[in-house]
Amino acid sequence: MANKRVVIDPITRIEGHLRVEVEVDENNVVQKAYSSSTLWRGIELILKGRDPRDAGLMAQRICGVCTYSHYRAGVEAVEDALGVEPPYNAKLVRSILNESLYMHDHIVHFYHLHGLDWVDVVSALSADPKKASELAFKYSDLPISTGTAELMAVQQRVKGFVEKGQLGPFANAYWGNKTYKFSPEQNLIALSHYLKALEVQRTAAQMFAIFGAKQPHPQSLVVGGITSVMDVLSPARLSEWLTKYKIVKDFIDRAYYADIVMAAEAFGTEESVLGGLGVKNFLSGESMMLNRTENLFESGYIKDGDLSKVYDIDESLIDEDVTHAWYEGEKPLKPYDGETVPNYTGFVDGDTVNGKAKILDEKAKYSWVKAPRYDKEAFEVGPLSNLLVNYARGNEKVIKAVGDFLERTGLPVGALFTTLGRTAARMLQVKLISDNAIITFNSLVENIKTDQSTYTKFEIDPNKEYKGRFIGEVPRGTLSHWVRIKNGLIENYQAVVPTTWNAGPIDANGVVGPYEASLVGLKLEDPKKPLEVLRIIHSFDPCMACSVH
Amino acid sequence: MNNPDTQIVDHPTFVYSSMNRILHWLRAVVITGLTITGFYIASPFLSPEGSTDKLLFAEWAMWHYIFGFILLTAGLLRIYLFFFGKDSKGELDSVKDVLSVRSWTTQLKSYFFVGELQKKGIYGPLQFITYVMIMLLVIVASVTGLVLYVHVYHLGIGGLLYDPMRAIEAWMGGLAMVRYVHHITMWGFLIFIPIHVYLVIWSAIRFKHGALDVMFTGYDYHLKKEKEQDQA
Amino acid sequence: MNGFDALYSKAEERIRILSELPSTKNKTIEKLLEEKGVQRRDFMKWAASITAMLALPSQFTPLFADVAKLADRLPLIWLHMAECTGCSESLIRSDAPTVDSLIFEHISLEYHETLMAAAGWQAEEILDGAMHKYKGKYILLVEGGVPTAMDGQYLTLGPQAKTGLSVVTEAAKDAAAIFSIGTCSSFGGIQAAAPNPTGAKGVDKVVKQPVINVPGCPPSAKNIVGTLMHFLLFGTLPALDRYSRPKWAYGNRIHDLCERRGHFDAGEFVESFGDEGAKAGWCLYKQGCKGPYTFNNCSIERFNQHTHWPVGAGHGCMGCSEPDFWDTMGPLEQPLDSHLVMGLNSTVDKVGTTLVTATVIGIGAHAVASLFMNKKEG
Ligand code: HEM
Ligand code: HEM
Ligand code: NFV
Ligand code: SF4
Ligand code: SF4
Ligand code: F3S
Ligand SMILES: [Mg+2]
Repeated sequence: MANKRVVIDPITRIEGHLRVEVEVDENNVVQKAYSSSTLWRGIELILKGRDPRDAGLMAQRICGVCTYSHYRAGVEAVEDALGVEPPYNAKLVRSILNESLYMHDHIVHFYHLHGLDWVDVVSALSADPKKASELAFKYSDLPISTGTAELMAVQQRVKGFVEKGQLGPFANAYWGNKTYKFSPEQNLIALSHYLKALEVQRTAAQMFAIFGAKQPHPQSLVVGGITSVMDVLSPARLSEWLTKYKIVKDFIDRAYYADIVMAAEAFGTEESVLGGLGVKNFLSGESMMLNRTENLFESGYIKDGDLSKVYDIDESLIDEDVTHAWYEGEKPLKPYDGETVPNYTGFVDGDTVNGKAKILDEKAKYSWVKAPRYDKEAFEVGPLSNLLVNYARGNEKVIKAVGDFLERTGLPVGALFTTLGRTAARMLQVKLISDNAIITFNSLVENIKTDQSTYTKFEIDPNKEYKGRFIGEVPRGTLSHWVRIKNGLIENYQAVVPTTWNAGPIDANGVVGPYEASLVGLKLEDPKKPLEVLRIIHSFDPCMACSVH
Repeated sequence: MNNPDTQIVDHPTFVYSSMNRILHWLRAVVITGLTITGFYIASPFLSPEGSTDKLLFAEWAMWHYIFGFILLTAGLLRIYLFFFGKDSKGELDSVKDVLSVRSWTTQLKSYFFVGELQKKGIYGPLQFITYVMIMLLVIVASVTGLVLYVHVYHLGIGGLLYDPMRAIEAWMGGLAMVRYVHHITMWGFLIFIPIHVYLVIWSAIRFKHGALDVMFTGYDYHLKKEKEQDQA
Repeated sequence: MNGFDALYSKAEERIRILSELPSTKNKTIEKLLEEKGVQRRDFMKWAASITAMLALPSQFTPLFADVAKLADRLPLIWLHMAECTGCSESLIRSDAPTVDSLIFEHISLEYHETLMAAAGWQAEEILDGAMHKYKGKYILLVEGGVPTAMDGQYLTLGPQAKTGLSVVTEAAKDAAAIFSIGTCSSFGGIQAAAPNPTGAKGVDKVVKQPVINVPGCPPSAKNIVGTLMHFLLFGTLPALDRYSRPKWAYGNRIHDLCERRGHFDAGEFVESFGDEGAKAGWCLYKQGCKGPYTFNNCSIERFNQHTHWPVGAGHGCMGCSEPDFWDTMGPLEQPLDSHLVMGLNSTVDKVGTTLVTATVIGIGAHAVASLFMNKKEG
């Protein structure tokens, strides 16, 4: 029997416009998968011919979710090109901003975007709040928002929706799907944290805004340094940051960590989250400066899931292929010389399990996402890669954090190489970051006692040609921006983005990217309600605005 | 076809009313003032360092607005006089020169030392265009200046003009564009004024008739003398 | 009837109409508030703050409380076009803790791709369903510019790959009101910056219905929520400026209420980021602040529960709530006197200086030539 096609568009609870199609056999097992983004904006072209100092603020508009990432990347790529070295204070503040960003972004991703793949809201209604309240102590010594009264209130609020059949954003989902594994009580705990996290994310955003001006879309970085010097030098502002930091860190320790432990327990035997890893190469950039000599995470890559060897990145081996992407281009191009020339070929008519639809023409071009490759191979990027690379590097903090978690859940190291592992890695990454952000902060406090500089002056010589790049780690993985400057203006600008690495289409050599590879072999309970696909795709934390730009 | 010889003779002797002359010098002064204060507004090069009591920028801006309003008033009067002033015929006649290709070529030639200047009104076409450009610049500067001004002062004339000026602002694509255009007009003045002054003086010397003093006395003495000599 | 009474009775009438609409929920906001343990007093406080924010007389406060209770009768559809989701992110930062986030949870948010549980065909069903069921009653909020080049195909949505352009024009037809949230949907935004490769436009350029623009990149949560509340209260468009921005939020320039304005008037400017002036909070005009040309309320409302804002953080305003600001206000960290001319690396002042120099040289040459000619003739 021929394969049946399943089209999922829009994939919701992500950033942007993502379509995923899978072909399932008669047993509803996925044989092939295609991922496509259906929006192109052309920001790389818009950046051309602009003043290099505008690159950061403009590139920032690539994404409002990892909002700070492209700002910083744009600014630092230009700094790299011009050979500008920002003062130590500025570097520390940028690192604090990055740490604050992760503390916001990962919480929102897990609770408000990914959460509903794990949590059956309807089931929470039949929970016994008292039992749930007691159960919460199993996962945390000091649980948050799980008092009996609080849980009762949560339950009552949600009941109102459900009884009426008017679920607002919770409508028409996949409630009752057999792959939801939490007990009603566990669902209730998680649901309560969903609501609490809405509040905490506001605090995390404030923490960011203290040095960043606002969140989303901060405005306190410039080529050469940072501008929020008054805040850096204000003891009131510093302690404000500290206070908010503690609130958010508390939530990570006492709710987020606990909920993942709970998920590991409940979903430890659920097939559909124990696969979900097709490309076994992992790449990660360096990030989270703690002081002059130490970063929390180092860069590198591992291949074929082999944790015994770790390699240094040779950035000249990065290129992007557009064979199956809606662009002109014969062969893969290195980012410095990358091109973004649209060549849209559209969809074809086809049959799907839901009837006729427009489907991807996978033999030809089928996505706005390019296909980045390192030495001709596909790589997964993201928190999981970040942890694996650093684990392989022998990063003590990472080894300890991973070890503790595995011990706590009783899972083997191999469990990391799964959808569940990818979701857990995100939590572990932000746990590590929140544990260590205080070191960066203290480095700053220490340094401003003797050094108050936050900005380095520079000149752009219009008669010189420059090129430079930023490579680093952002919430969804390794980000790089590549810029050429000529006549004092941007000559070429290319961004190679985490979600591009993960969501890209097949390349000229038939090499398949992480999203598509991760779905093969997945069994769907009901192809018309493909929750399992969502769960795997969401575990990557897709950001399509980033991936295409 | 006009006879060139008689045309020179046709030049009016009394060219500018006292009103026009006063307006001219008033405008020459305020345009200079506006350019200087405008430059400062665009890129403030002075700072009182260490005191917020002295509102240095605000003072410069204030003078800019004062000059601006003088320019505006003078401009309005000048436009009125152009059409309705009792001595406006000479100027209105210049329009005919602008419309005449021949007049253009002869004047352009004359600037390159070929032939004499000949015209119907008091200005040659190039001269006239220069004045029209200056006049247009005054209008553009005044209107964009007013659009900027209604956001500075909200009562009185600022309040009165608020709505119409905001319509112009939206039409122009926002305040940043308005300011940009306002700024460019300043460069327009910086370019046209030297040409204007030079042409006035140069024509006076070369064609031996009124220039500098015309703007003071209103009479074109040289012209008269020349006419007498010619006849003699 | 004077203006105040007219406005007041209009609001009352509006509330009467709203209360006659069938609720989309079986519990009122008031009940939900009670359950959440929110005191009536807190609720009134919140209503008072919204009233003040909209610059309405305090007598309107009870009306706001009433209308908020009825808010669940208005279904909301939020569409994503060519955007970065920063505006949605801003919305979920909505402040005045618990109370207004509650309003948002309980307003009938029918469709919002970033937040909704359903995906794919199920999501499509919700959108079609809501547009039919609440025909003429729903509020349409749009985030993102609308690509119009190539017949709109730079953005397609859903299993039938409809263009963003067709989805937004369809949804606009039966909407009770349309709000463009953010500079992208208001004016085209980043993708519409030159050379605008996808022909991106603001929503008001592609639909026939009236649109309220709530620009900003992103707009503050306050401006999004406040504009919605105003609509709920009056059922009409708020007073709008020439760019269809609500005057209560976009009536003043950043510069008019800026905390650094004293230094501007004094002529005290930051000369270089991080210098002594920067540490002392001097004016950022010479660092390219576009506050004098930008209409928004950031200087008073700030962001993230009043935590901060660009000028406060030492970076000038870049004019993010103005049309085409990416093109008209760049370079963003330079004052206008170094505005790039037509994307060429030259500035008005450089061009001006060159032209003046050329003029002077031309005059000089002409004068010299004249002397020479005079001699020859003489
Ligand atoms: C010859 C005529 C004028 C010249 C050369 C001139 C020049 C300038 C310049 C260079 C600027 C600075 C623009 C920038 O920031 O780049 C400026 C600003 C301004 N001008 Fe004028 N201007 C003229 C007439 C006027 C008039 C008639 C008005 C109306 C009252 C006016 C009102 C303003 C205002 C309100 C500003 C903005 C000041 C501020 O930002 O506080 N100007 N002008
Ligand atoms: C050397 C001294 C100058 C002489 C002899 C002179 C002479 C003249 C003459 C004959 C006219 C045409 C008459 C008229 O339209 O009213 C004129 C117009 C004008 N001049 Fe001058 N000018 C001189 C310097 C200046 C300067 C320094 C400025 C400005 C900074 C200036 C600004 C103008 C303006 C704005 C007009 C207006 C055109 C008009 O009114 O239609 N002039 N000048
Ligand atoms: N992919 C991606 Fe981003 C991130 N993190 C960035 O570069 O999300 Ni919007
Ligand atoms: S207006 Fe700004 S924040 Fe909103 S979607 Fe557009 S780019 Fe993003
Ligand atoms: S910082 Fe900007 S908005 Fe504030 S006073 Fe200075 S120019 Fe105006
Ligand atoms: S850049 Fe935008 S956020 Fe406010 S201060 Fe300026 S309008
Ligand atoms: Mg790219």
